[in-house]
Amino acid sequence: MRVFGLLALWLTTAPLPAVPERNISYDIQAKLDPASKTVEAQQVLNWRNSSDRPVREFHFHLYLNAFRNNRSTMMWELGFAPFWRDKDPIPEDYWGFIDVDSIQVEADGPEGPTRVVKRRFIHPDDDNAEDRTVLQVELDRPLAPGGQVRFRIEFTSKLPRGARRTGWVEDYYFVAQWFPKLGVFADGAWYCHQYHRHSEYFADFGDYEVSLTIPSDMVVGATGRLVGETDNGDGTHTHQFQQENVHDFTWVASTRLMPRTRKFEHPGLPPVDMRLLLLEEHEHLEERYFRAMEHSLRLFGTWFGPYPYSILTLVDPPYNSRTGGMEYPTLVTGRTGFWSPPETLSPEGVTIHEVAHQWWYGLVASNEAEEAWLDEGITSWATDRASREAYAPRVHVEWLLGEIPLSFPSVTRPFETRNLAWVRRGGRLDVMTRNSWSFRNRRSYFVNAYAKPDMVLWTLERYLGTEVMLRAIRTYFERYRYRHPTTEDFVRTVSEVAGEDLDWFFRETIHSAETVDYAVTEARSMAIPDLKGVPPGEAEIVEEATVAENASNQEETASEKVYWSRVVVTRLQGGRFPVDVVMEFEDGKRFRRLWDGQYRWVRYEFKRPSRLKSAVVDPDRKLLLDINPTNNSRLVKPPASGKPSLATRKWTAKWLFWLQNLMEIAALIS
Amino acid sequence: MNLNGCVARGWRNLSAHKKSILYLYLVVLASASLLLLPFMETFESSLGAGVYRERLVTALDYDWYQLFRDRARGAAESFGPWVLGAGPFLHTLEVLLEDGFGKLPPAVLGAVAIYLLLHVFVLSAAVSSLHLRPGGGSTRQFLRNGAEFFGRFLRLSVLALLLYWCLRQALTPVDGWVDSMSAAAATEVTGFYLSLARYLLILVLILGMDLILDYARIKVVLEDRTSILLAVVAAAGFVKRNFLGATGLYLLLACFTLVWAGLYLGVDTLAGDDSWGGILVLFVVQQIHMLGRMALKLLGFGAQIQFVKSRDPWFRDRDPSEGGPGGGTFLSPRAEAASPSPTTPPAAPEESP
Ligand SMILES: [Zn+2]
Repeated sequence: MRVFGLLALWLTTAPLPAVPERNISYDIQAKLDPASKTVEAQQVLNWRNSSDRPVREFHFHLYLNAFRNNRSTMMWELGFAPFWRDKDPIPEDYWGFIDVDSIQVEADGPEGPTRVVKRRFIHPDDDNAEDRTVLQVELDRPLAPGGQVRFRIEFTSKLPRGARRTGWVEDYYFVAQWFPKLGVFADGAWYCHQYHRHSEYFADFGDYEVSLTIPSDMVVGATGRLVGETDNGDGTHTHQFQQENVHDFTWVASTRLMPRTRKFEHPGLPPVDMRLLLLEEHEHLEERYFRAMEHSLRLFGTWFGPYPYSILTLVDPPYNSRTGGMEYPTLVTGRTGFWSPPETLSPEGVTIHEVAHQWWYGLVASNEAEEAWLDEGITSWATDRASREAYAPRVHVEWLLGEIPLSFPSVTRPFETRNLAWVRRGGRLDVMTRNSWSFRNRRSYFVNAYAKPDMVLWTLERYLGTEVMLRAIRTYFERYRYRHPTTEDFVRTVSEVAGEDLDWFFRETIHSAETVDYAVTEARSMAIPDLKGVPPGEAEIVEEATVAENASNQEETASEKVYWSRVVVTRLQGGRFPVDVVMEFEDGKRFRRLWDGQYRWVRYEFKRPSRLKSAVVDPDRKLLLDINPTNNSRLVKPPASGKPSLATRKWTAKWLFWLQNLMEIAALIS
Repeated sequence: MNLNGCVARGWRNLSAHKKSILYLYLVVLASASLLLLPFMETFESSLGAGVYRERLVTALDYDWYQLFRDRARGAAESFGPWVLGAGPFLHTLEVLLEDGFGKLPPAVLGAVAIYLLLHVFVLSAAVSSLHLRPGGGSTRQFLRNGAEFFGRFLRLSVLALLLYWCLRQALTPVDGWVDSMSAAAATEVTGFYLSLARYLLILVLILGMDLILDYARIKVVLEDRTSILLAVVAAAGFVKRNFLGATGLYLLLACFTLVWAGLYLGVDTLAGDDSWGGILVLFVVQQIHMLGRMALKLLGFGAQIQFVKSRDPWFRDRDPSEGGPGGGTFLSPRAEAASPSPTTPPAAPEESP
């Protein structure tokens, strides 16, 4: 405990960790041909061996090959059902692929590799020989530690019809996962997974310089900053983008996007150029898009650390492009519909979520394939926090006929428990830390990457207090930005900042497939009857109390009536957490006890001159993971017991009226 | 007679049949009440024994609602935020337009079916009484009228359901067309308007069907028709010949219903409903609304009966309320033709069966 306390003190005074040196850079010249929906490109890739081992094999992501045919690993996982189900047969130009036309290699030193001896597709995650999403390149000689190698790659990328965050729709081209991207070399091995149905991305931080040649009538958006533009005189323009210290490069080109710019400025935070590429049908949502970006940059900048890049581009994608709600370094996509009144929080919710990813994915680049919760989970929690700060209260909206938003101002939806129902429905299928393709099903992936970590972090915040929680997350951010932390790094950092060993907490959450439900299962109180039978005599015998605390629960009283009260709190599910139990008596006295929650149940007994009124477990709702809050309290004597409560009568009356209306509407067709 | 005149006469006619309104209302109350106890039981137990009993009095707690939605079985599955505000009107309209009846819990569907059956009986009694006993009548007469016309009204209702089903089948290609057009469109705006147009079309078709069936019911009563198919054909012919008047009257009555619903919403937003008194007031207001809806429904029939009579020369000359023959118990042309009455034989009904 003391060690953690000292560490916490050190952390608050320690200087910011230095930004690590990059060992990779990409220089790409690409040309979009809208007619064939292809991108032809030349790529120069510099890589320095910053490890302590010689490297002879290199692993590249060729993720567009996931769209190559219906036999790729992603398509297998989708049940061979590609996305374009309305088309049968699927048109030729719907498929997408990437072909590496040539690879040349040169090293800086005389001892380094000189040529590629073997290229083959590997499938490290499954035995699908037909998957072409990871390319292994073997060189003639190993590259020694500290050595530098340069790859010259020519490739052609055919974009798929919009699906899974990439592709074309009409004249909108969203170009993601489009170039041969090197995996991450660490601990003597390559981390380079195949493209899966659920997994996202993982790569090293590097510097990008990318020239994009596209038709002149198209608007372009890309990772990084535009540093030059040339008119080629042949109906095309070449746009040069540049960005240091990012781990991916994505771009978009379309005649339909309208560029809008604004400057983000906030005291204590660096300014950011906000660029919005907006569709005409969403022009009226411009202000709301920008405000959501501003809220995000301000709140996340203040809570976690400043956004370090000078630009942030937000793309408003066409509704059928399937590229909405996605994050790439310095470029994110929103998603909305043209009729979205403010209470729908569309586009705000998605925008905040994707901008939050700039911190949790963009800067703290955990392995999304192996530990998706570290980016999606923290991002979900951050999204809820920022949304609550900027947009609370959130009002419930029903979509009439699937098209018309109808809001119910009296029904508010708390941001903190947005994902609680999902934990209840799917929290027992898996633990959070699994490869994203290993979860039992789609729901479990969602629950364990998004919903459960969201609720875990809210619970952690309530346990630690907001101040400590934000300090812990900020420390984690500062320590691991531009790096690839793991769950272990997260757990260690939080424990250190909190000044206590939180292993038990993470054992019950991250590493557990149990749900949590505490309940007050018994609460009663009765007057102790007058003595009958044989009096005990002069010598008094004191019975041992059932629970040690019960000794303090007995009060000497001059009053004639003494009541015996009993409360039983039960842990109905597997998750074990310490919980507060509060017992309130009719004379207004309240007793608070802390139960460690280890055994199945605990009993509290009182002999007091007042009747027990109620008992509540976790009265402050710290344990937000508790899947059923309605059994957390018990009134000893429910008002008008035996008869329906006021609440029941009220909602029954309302429901009855709905039912009468339903009957009347049915009478229209009979 | 203009439309206002029809409504005024219908109103006068209806004022002698206040009991019919009450019976119609009692049917909708009783049918819905069939599910009252199971619903209350589910609801009550969902609150637990603690603070949610209090919390739910003031507002619909969203955490509780999500839990309820996951766990409720039976009729209570149909509970949701749509019981609030305009929800009872709009959500049920959505069920109709989306053909969402199949998604309702079986218990709710059962109650609706029972309602429809009882409703047909009371409606047949009420509509026939409006015509046959313009001056009102006893409950026994009311029931006798119901017994006389129930079979025919029931067949009309079955036919209506059949027509609705056919309508849905006929619209399937339209649905497919709307879906594919929406999917092919560059923006979601196209799909939105196409979808809205489709629902509007469905609504117009359903209302049109309801309009014709209203007149078919009236024809069954007025002309004592036994063939419901011919009654529907005759009603359609009548609506076609008097298109503006018939639709105008229908829309006028629909407007009354809308205004009545608007009034309810105004009161609903004003009324506080988190005390015993408030809840009682809320319930009474809701039930008054339903009573009013039944009155409007019968007013509709009353006005439409007057409309038919005003457009039919034979009826025009012998309106019982003007002291024509029959004196109170007004016989249908067919019945009168069959009776050995010395009066001039009636003109043939507009469409001979
Ligand atoms: Zn995300």
